[in-house]
Amino acid sequence: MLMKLALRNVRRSMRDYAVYFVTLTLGVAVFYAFNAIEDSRVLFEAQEGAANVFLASGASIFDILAQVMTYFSVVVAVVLGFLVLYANRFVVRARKKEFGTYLLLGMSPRQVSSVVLMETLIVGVIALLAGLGLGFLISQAIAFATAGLIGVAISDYHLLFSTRSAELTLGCFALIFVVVALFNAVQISRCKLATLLSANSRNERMPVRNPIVCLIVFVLSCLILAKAYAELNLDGLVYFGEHFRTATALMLVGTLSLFWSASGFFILVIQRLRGVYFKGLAMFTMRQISAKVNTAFVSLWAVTVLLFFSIVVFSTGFSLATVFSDQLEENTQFDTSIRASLMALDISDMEAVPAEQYGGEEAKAAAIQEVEAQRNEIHRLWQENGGSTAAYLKSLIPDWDERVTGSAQVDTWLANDLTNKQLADACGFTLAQIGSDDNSSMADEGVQYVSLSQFNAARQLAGEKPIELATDEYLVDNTIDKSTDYAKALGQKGRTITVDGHELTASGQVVSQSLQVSSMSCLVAVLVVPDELAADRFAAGDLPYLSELNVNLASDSQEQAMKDLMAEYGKAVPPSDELAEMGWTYDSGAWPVSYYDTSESVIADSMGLKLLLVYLALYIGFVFLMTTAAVLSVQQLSEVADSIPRYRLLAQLGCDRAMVLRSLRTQIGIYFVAPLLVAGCHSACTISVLYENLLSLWGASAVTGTLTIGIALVVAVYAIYLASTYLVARSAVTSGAGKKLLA
Amino acid sequence: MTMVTATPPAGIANAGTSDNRNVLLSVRDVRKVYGSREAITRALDDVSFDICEGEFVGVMGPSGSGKSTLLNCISTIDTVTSGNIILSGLDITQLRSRQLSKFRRDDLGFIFQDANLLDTLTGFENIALALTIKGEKADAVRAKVDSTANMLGVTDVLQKYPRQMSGGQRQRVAAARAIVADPKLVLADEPTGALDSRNAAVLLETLEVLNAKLHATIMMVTHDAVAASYADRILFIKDGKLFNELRRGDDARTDFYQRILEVQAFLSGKQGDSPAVGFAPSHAGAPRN
Repeated sequence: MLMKLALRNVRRSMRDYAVYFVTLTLGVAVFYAFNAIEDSRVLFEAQEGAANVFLASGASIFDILAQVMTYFSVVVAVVLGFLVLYANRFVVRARKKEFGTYLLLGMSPRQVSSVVLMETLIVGVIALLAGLGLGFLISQAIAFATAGLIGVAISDYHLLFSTRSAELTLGCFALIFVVVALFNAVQISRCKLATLLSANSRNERMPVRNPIVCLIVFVLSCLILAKAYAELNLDGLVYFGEHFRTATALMLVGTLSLFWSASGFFILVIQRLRGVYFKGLAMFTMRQISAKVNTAFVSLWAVTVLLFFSIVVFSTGFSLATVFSDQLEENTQFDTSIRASLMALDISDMEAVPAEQYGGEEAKAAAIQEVEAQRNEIHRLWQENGGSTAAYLKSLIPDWDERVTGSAQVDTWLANDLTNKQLADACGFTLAQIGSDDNSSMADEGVQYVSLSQFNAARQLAGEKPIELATDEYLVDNTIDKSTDYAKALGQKGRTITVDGHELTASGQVVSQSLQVSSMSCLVAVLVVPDELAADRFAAGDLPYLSELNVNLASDSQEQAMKDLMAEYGKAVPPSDELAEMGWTYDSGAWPVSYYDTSESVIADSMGLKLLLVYLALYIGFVFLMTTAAVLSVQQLSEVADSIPRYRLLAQLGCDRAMVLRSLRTQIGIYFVAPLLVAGCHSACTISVLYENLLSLWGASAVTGTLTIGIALVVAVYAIYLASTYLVARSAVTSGAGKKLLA
Repeated sequence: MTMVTATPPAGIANAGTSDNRNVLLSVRDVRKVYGSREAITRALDDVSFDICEGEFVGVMGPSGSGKSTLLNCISTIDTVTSGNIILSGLDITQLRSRQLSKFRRDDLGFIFQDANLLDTLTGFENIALALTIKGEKADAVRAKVDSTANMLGVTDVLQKYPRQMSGGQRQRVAAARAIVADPKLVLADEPTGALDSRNAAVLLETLEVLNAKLHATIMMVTHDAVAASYADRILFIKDGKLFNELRRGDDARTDFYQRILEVQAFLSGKQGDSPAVGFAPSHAGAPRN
């Protein structure tokens, strides 16, 4: 009997349940689809070219994805739980009178609660099934998107259903339903019959605010937000220090006070504009919005903050993903780079550290001595082998020539007599303009240079033509977008600079030639100079800052070939017990192999990161966005339900359908767009700072494209909710005010 | 059924209101039927009467008599089953929906039982709304609202919200809203129903003033004899039929009140009772001494 009533109620209050249902369905679908990503691994891991799927560490991309998705799913589940509770609360509130009638007719509170519980269950089960169905479809689409993102073709496609994800989804939402059911039961049992019956919902207090106070607070809010933007700019989203914390706090406070005062402020303005104020239903529309904004300013604030997050996550996630894949080609021109980091052996840094950190003066002295010994050993080998990594490795590994088809060493030297800051100043640039600042360690470091012969050898290994330089000429190699202008200025034909005692003139050539395998471009206006500079330094017994040997391998499987090669190397240079325990097969402290990167692993890492960024951005961004849109929608619909008598009155006074609906459109539009606008301003500021300081550094010229995609997605989801809210509201108003009146 | 003749033929009705005023509203043979063929409810059964320009007409009757249906039909909130309602030459039963809205905002003013002000708008805005939805020029709105408010004595509460006003103030603001746009006909539905007697008296006097000074034509539905005694003429409705008509003429209000009570007493008597001689068809019996 109760079941019958519940079923009929669901059918009847379809409209009340619509937003609740849509939100639940989308939530389930997204939750399932993203947790199912892991199980699409079967499509890829057995495929040809599947190396792309495995990271340098040997783990599959999907292991990491699964882990990260699970972590974030907890956040998502909590957010969705709150959303479901929130939406449900409005459904119950809208029907209080009905519940009161049940009680009056003699049903017990327990029976009423169980009717509501059944209704929740019916809607929940339908939404769960619909959501799983939709999620199943989405997860197929995601599998193909994955294939596109990591560049692996699916040859053996079959439909995927992830039992694991389905179980997780069912479990999560079952829990949410239990909470909702409990919440409803408590809410109904706590209500007095009288309040249920007289619950004509218009008992919210409408705060009246002094317009002058509103004006002042509004102006203050704008100032606070301007200050927040300025602070954010100072931090640059690089340090996340004092400025960042101030900016965050100011942004939160400014946004809240903005919503607190906005309606008062705009009313003040609009009242001065007679042409607007005294036109049709403008007064009514304005007061409706202001009443709602005044009572709901806290939730508008929360919505704006969430919206801000989702916009930033959406757009920067995509942008970063593009950055990584854009640079991939130029950063994987060789099979592998074997690196010797030599700058870590500087004992002056160690001397500056207080002795306590080493556990006493003696320990410190011992540590310094150890590093000195290491340095001396490296120095000896370096000198003995004439600085040639390849020659030394060849002497240790007998079949080196069979394993390696070509190699090119690139040594990066730091000038002794010219710092980065001095050079930038001379060219009329500040360090900030090239992606650094005066406080960074780079400022007082010598400028980087490489020898022309090594540069050309690397170019030839990469299949490019060598570049000629006259004696005492230099050129500039730059792979970072941010410092392009600086590189051009530095390489301007005829500019003369003095590096390590040599006076050099710019040849006018500025090139972009990657000199190593790496996950990101990293050459900031490096000078390519005649060989004698490096020769002089070698003769003086100096070590370069960094020495890299770019190698092309005979085997197609780079990771495996390098593992074998390093095992061979490790026979001659065995790791310490400590290192061996950590999995090293050679002594990474010795010259010339500190570590190595293969193109294969760089590509896989980059793919993995890209996949992770894109999916996280989509997942988090979408859920947050949906949450905000749903909250706004629920608020508007309940507002409309409360306002039905007002619309009826307007119709009686002679407002026709067009006038009333125009007012309704304006109200819903403004209520939806206002948070989007504020969040949009915040995001624009944040993203531009991010672009200025980070994205451009990595050469994200394609950022605008992906930003557009991100914004388009946000607007699309938002528009769907706005449109459906309007349609539901329209039918509520026309039927509520009487079809005859608003025909 | 002698009382049926209480509804006079058109010609006689005009003769009855022969004081050189033009007929503003003409209700002709209006029927309103609810329900299916088996269970017909005749809410209005062949009702006909006229209201002249500048008249203050009361409509009385017990609950369920059809007086609210009549008001709803005239205000085009409800439609008639048959018959015609003509307001200054325009048959409003023939209007289409959009024209109906236009008719309501241009030609009618409403005063409801519970004021029915918009709670989110200030007093000023509630009154001004009647002008702005009509498309009044923005420059003229403030002056019109101010002068109307002044006349109804609600200038003090213009910047207040309805919940900050007393019941009487709310109802007078509603009256101001009803007349600010200068409608042809003001329809008042139990305007004193939610007021205490003192506030009711103030409002009724206000209506009297509107009628006398601004020559507003008012049709007021009420079941309160005191309220009705402020009108010039009273139409009694019972069981959907026009049953009787009283004219105040030059009677003092208290005398008129007594006569109303007598008719009421009769109306609430057993159905089928013959009317007392004093309550013969009104156009003949209306005193005009």
